[in-house]
Amino acid sequence: MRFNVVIRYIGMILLLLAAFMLLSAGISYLNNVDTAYFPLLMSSLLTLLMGCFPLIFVPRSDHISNKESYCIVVGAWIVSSIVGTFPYLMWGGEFSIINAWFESVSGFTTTGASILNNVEELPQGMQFWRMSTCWMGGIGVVMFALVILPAIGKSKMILSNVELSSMAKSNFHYRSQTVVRIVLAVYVGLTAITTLALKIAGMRWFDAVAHAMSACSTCGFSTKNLSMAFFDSPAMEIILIVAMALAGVHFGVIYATICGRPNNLFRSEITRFYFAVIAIASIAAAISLCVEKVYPSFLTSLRYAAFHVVSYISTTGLATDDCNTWTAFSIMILIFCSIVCACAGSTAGGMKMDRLVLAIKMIRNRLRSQQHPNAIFRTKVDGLPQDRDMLNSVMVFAVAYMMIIVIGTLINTMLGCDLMTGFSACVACMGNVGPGFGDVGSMDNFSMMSNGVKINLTLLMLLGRLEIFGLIQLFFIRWWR
Amino acid sequence: MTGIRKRVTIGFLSIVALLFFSGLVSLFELSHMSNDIEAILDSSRKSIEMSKNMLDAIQNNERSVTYYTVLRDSLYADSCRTSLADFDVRLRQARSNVSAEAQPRFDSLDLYTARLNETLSAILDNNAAQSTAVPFDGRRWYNTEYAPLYDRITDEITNVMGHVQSSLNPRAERLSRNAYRSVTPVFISLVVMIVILLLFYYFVMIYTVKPIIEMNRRLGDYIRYKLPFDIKAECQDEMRELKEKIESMVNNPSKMK
Repeated sequence: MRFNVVIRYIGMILLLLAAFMLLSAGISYLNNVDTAYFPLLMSSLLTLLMGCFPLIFVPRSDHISNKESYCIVVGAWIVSSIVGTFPYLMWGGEFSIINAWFESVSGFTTTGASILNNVEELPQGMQFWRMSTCWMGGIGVVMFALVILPAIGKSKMILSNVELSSMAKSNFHYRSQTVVRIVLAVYVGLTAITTLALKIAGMRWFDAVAHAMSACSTCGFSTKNLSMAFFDSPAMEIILIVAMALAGVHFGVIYATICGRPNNLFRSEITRFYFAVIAIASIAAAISLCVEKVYPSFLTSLRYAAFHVVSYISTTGLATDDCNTWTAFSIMILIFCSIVCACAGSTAGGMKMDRLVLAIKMIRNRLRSQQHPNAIFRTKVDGLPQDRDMLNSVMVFAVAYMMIIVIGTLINTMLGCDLMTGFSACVACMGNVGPGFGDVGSMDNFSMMSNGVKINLTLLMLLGRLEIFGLIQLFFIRWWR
Repeated sequence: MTGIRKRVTIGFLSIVALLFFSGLVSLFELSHMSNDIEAILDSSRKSIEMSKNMLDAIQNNERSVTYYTVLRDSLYADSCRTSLADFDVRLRQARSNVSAEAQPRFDSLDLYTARLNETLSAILDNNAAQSTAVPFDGRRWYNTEYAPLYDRITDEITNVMGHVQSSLNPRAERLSRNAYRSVTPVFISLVVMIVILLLFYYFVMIYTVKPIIEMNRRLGDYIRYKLPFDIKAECQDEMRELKEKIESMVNNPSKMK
């Protein structure tokens, strides 16, 4: 393991953060040099210095081992989250050290959980930095750096393989270089189109950009305390439903659809299943809300149910109403969405729809093989048989995911949370969704949680974002040899 | 990638720049905080001073009125008018010195002052005109008309002072919070400096110290046991040149003669 090489690559990623801090400082400057200007400028300079330092000392190395690339990716996430706290800490307000760490991790992991009681108090520059963290985190800070920074060179392939979800790679049929470009092109394109659509629907430019960044990165940060309920606009909600739903689809599939290739949105089994789940969950929740008279009509129920189902399943977390007032059945639907989440290869976190499809198929095959002991059943997705290693990893991941949620809930309840709050916060943070239920509902925030709970939740966010094993491997000393 | 000298200089300069930066930030924050403290103290001093002036003026007036009601001397009648005019001036001065949000607090003070002025002028003018025709019960007038207004005015002055003083509390609280905040940029700069120092130490160790130790060991091995001098060099700097020179010296000893 060459730590110097790892440090060099992390330094390059810090340069990217410094650039975004400088951009946010620029927005602060344009906004009559608001109170965020100096904190952002100072943070940018410090980050730039930290990023440049290893580049001066460590020679370029195109060949990096698998272990090194794991360390670069995990290290980049952790270091980005630490450096991301600088502007918050320097600005002050509600940001204590733990709060700044929580907000930063929540941004980079695209969880979207916030500790801020008054988001609107933040100056525009700081709002933009907050959105930048989630936008960079949306496709992964390392993936972002791979496209932006030309100096990374040949190591692109190894790094992109580590950064991409293991489930996502199978749907890309291109070279790594192309994969990275496709992901960024789709991401930037989707954000630009959403911004334009929101602007046309009546949002201010700044809010439109911020909400587009938030929706396309499936983060869920908003510039308003009431999230999307502030705007109360069906047109904006429809635009965001489409944006969030698409951000939850494999970017390779979106690219294939645009290019008219065969593995498109309409043919991909996973994507069809994803949209079917959204449709069924939305209608079921709407019926429940309408029957229990939470909303006056079925259409109003459908409006709120569809927005929240898409918001939760895509792990975005934007809200148009307080879901705590919903029926138990509709809350259960949202919790299910928070666990399953969207497709691999998208900006969404969570267990991923691909794993659910594979798990269902494996269960079906298991039942069939009990009925026909001598028959051999292969688990296929899009007509392609899946290898045994992949299937095993799906089951291991699912078990580990549920185990971590249980352990996280245990810790939360031990630290004083009630069961619903503790459990839903764990599910929301592990799946990078953001809002939960109970005290951390869609219209609440995480400010009243104790510092211990906040630290526990940030660990869950990182575990969820790095698909559990990426982060855990870092703590196994034997693996380092 | 640059030469050893340049790298060490850059490392050193980075640390110096950070030190300078954190010093500059702490200087800026401390001067900012000092200005804030000065502003709060100044506001507090001004508020105490204006309240004292107003209280002094109204007390002078009360003293003159007391003498007048007892002695009914025209000399004290003039003194009553002068002291009330003085109070009015002090009141206007105080009003002009407070913030916009404290202005409504002066409205009731203005009202009672106007009433006092009216009552006092009426009695002074009446007494001056009628002289001794109508007996003037000074004690009764003082107790029923003047004293309640005087009490109200002194109470209002105390209220105004209390309000101005308590309006300084949030500023003081903000300052106490800012004291922690103003240390934060310095603290972050110091943390970054420690990180850079550690990195600097690590890089110097692996790119300068370690190769020297390795070359020394291999050269020792070559001299003692004639083991081949073979070191892998990562950098394109003076250390590589040194290694190559030693290699050529070791591998082609005839050329060195």
